[in-house]
Amino acid sequence: MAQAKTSAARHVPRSSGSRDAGVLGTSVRIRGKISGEGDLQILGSVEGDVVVRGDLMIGESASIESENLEAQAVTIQGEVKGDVNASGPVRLGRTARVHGDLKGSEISIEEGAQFAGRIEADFELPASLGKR
Amino acid sequence: MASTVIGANITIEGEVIADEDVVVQGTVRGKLSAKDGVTVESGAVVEADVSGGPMTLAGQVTGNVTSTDRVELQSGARVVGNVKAARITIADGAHFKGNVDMDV
Repeated sequence: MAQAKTSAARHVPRSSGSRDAGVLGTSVRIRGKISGEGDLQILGSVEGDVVVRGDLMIGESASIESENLEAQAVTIQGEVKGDVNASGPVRLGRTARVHGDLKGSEISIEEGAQFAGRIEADFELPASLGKR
Repeated sequence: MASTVIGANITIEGEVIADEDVVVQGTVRGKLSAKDGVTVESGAVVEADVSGGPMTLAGQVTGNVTSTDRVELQSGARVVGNVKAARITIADGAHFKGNVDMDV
């Protein structure tokens, strides 16, 4: 038993990252559906739907082809083909290349980002404008 | 340091292919192939054929496991499937059902 314990301590790397965060590295390719409660960072390539409760970060090296990307806050620095459906803000960084519709509480597109699609954002107009 | 971590609350249904280390804390259904090490942590559920380099299994794995190096079943691991590897260790307290092929 003591032996099993020492080997467990040696081999299970409990890295400093919190347990509910996920990172899909640059060399990772996923074909299928990804779902989850926590935050997710994608640096590799994904073909399929991504539905997470937390925030989604799509890195510069990432390439995603998806019918549906659903998350809270979404930050895109990489390539996305497909619709983004966020309950929080959507941010397109300067290296983002996005082909699809964006939906979120706020949408921001930085200079340099490439984007083709529709934008749908729910926001309240100031009272003076709303009256018209 | 592993660059891919499938977190505890993440579920992947489909095929995962990686050229680097993969740490699974959540759920993977389908297929998991890595060029390098695979770690299935305690609490993780893998219902997939797993292939890769050195493997450390402490969670639940249902599927065939193929490693170019060694496979370590740690205490608390629950593995149902065949294991093919050059070296294998099964710790006291690990559950295992399947065949072992060490390619003798």
